[in-house]
Amino acid sequence: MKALLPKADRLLLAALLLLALGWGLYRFACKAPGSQVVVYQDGQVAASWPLTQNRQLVLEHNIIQSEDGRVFMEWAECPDQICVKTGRIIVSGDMITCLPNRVIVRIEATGTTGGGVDVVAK
Amino acid sequence: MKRLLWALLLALFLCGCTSGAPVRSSISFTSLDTVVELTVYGRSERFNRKILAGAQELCESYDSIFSRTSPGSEISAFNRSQAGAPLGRETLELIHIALDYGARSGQVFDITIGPLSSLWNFHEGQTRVPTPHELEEALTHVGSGFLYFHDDGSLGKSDPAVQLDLGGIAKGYIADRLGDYFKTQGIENALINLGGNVLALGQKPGGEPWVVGVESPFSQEGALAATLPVTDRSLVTSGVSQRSFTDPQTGVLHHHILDPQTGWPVRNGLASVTIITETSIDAEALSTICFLLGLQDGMALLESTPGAEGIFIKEDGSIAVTSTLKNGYTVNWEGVAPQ
Repeated sequence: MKALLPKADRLLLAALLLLALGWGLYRFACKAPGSQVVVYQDGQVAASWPLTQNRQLVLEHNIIQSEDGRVFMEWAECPDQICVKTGRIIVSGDMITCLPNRVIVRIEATGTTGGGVDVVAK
Repeated sequence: MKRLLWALLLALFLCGCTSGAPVRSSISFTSLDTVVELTVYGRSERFNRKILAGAQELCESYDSIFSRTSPGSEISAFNRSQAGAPLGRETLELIHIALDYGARSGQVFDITIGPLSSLWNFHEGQTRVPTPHELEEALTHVGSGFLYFHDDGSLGKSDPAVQLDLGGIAKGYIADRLGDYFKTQGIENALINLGGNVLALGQKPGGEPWVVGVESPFSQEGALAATLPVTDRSLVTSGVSQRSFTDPQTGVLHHHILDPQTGWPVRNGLASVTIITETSIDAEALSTICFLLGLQDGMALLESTPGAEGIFIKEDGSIAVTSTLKNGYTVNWEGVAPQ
């Protein structure tokens, strides 16, 4: 029986299908309501946002940046710079602490907020 | 083989088209004595960052003009002065709007409550209840009758102890100016959140309305009382849960919405009032006014104000809403329960 398409074409088609499937899965994973970046200042939640969001948080003595699912302390006005040296955190439970400025950055599993709400008036 | 390669190129080209969708970028920072969160949808992350940085600058410049607590502000200079100090065009504009609201509300809304605000000092997280004598003294310097305009439009005061506090209206004004700024920069979809005062610009890029949650006044964990789909609307809540403290001796909760007649936090059975209007300055002024007026008079004011909607949540957990809100919005009630 003669094949409908030459072998090379069939291989290319299969590769394309795999590529499309992979891309689809990747997009789906990115959109899934996953972890939150939560920033605490003096023990209070100063800000939180989905880990999938690129965002820069500017506090009085710290700048926190989340980029492509990674969070890091971009700048800190503190003597030890431990928080900046911590580097990037990516996994739920990971934490960056800037003790001199009482700032904590944590990745947390999604909790009560969210649920399709864009913003909360309070 | 060749044909499939062309198909591959076409597919890649089509994929490229979808990346033309607006990019979402956000910034959070502390300003205006609260946490400011701004989200814009623009053509690229780089483009958005520039606009967000400009918005942050704008916020900080307004903070340095309107703040009652930063010593270098125009308002601080006016408050320290004997008979008035020079105020900029925007400060005067804001004061005119605030005085109009004062007149419309039968003077329950009063920007001369500065002496009372300093005494209660919710700003610094103080937990001391002023003595009746202190409140009485402060009240003698409260009243918009102490303010007058000179022929050149500048503002004067007839009592050196009179102090302005624009805290009940400035964030609304600033949110509207941020919205104007975004529009002039070509941003059509944005969320402006000044410590819970929300201005939703346009709608989501896909054409769906924004979904705004209204926080329950009884929840410590940020549970929602309702969610509303909105387009080009501001939502501002005045309630007992923000900027308040419980007196350790009496167990009484003292919140920041002060009655300019008595000097005490107003107590009328309301736990929170959320106002929905097109401009944020209206939402902010009306939320304070309706809270001070109470359910009946507040509701009557809203029903006679075109384009204004309101959600009143009482201390017993019951909810009342303006009549058109029921028809115009699909409100999802999440259930409200007092503690």
